[in-house]
Amino acid sequence: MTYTESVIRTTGERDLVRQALAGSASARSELFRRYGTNAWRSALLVTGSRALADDATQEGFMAAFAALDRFDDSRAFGPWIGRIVVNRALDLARSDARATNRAVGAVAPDWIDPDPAERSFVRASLAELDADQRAVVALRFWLDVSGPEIATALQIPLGTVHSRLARALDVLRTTMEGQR
Amino acid sequence: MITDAHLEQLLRDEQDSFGEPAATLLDRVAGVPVFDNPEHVTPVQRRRGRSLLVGFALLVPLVGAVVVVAGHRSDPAVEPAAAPTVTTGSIPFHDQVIGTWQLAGIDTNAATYGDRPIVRFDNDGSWTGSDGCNGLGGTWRVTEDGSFAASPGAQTLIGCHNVDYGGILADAARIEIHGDRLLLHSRNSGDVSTLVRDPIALPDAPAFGWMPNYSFFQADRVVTDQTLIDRFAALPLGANDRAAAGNATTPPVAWYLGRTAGHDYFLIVYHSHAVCMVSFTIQNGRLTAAGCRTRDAMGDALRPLGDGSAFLVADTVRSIGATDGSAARTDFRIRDNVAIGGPADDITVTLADGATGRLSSSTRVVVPAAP
Repeated sequence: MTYTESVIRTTGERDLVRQALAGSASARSELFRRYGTNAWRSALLVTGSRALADDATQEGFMAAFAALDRFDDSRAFGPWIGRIVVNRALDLARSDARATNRAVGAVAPDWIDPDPAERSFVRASLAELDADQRAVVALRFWLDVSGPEIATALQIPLGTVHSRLARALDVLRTTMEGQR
Repeated sequence: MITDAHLEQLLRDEQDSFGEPAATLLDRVAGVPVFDNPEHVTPVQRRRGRSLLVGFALLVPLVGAVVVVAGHRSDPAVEPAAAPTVTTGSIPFHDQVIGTWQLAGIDTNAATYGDRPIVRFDNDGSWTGSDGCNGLGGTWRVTEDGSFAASPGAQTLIGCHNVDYGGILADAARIEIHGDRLLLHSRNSGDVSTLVRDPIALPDAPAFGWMPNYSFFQADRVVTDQTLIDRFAALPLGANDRAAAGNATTPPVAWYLGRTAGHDYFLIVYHSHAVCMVSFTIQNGRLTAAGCRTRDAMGDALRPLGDGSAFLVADTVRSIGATDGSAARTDFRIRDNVAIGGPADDITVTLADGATGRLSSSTRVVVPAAP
């Protein structure tokens, strides 16, 4: 690691955002390094497609970088970028489903092993969720986005967030217990 | 029965098994910054014939009088241009203007100038600069179709060689940007004045990251104090940097060390209080990266080394020799990019390839307090 890389990697998040806003490519790279993987994994969970997850992550980050001046730097960057990427992932999943004339989630996700014997019971359970439920699960448990923020991100009532999350957990629990 | 907590833990654990995005995704996301991407740059309108240098006629030596040079003249090579087309996703015109410029064709380092005649446009709509001996400033704005307006602020003009940036800017009705050239079209005469990016503020920069090799070492080609202060003023210093600058009872001092490919290095010494090296990249006249570590941030790396002056150095630095007021030579100890030594008035830096540069006390400036 070069010296400058070591410096940028110890830079505080708020300063990174400020530098990214000023046009720093290094700061943008570091923000992606810190938050890109989790955002990408969430997009992969939602879309079920690595290609769509890549697109959602790229488009989400580029949109976020273009809108950094509207980011409230008193808040954490991770949940903010996560909301953007997951939202984009949902859009792409729906668009892809329309384009292929299939229901969202009708195709087995890339992250599910084609051999049922090799599937983890957690993934097999996640595969039972629809894209909207996966989005709520990813936002809440993988990206630590609060309920009200999920409601804002997905433009749904807070009550719907709670009910969707509860329903998702019920499905997961039931499926997991059935596999045990 | 799977409890909620157990279920939540299972989900969180599963996240890690989803793997990593391809490394190329980072390039797609961050490796090609908007302003580095040719597709996002305002199209350059190619010109036939010779270059667009204008401005040799702008230098009129006058002594002892208030001088405002008429400014600019037509360049027959410059055709009247249509307003630049701004494509979706391009850099806003405003952002392209931000930075430090100088009139094309003049030697801003000429001894005839007390100060380097440059003009700097800031993001907040203000501009500052020097006509060669007088400080200048005012406000500016530009719209996406290239319409430009600037107002000069109050100026105290003393006699010297002048570059009338105030007059040029106030007379400009429209601008174009062609790479590193800013063309100012007069609202009254149709003349075109050309500014170029300040070369001192314009090292070549890598796309991102840090390139440890360097193209040349220019420690002896010292920037002026004002330039250094300007540069620091432009740094988006972090909280730690501001705290260090604000809390140090001894004013921090800085040496201009040199520059590698795309990076300028400043050694900032906070005697016995903090230590910091700022490395930053200026791209197209805009600060694109900066880093700084305080002595506190260095923690245990510095603690055993006592309270001598210390600073961080680039890893291209092989050794640093220093001379204090008694001319006794003391070599700095360098460990993990940290150089430790006593206060010194004269420093000789040797880089990895044996090139040396001497940093004299004349290159030392007081870093201004953070705003």
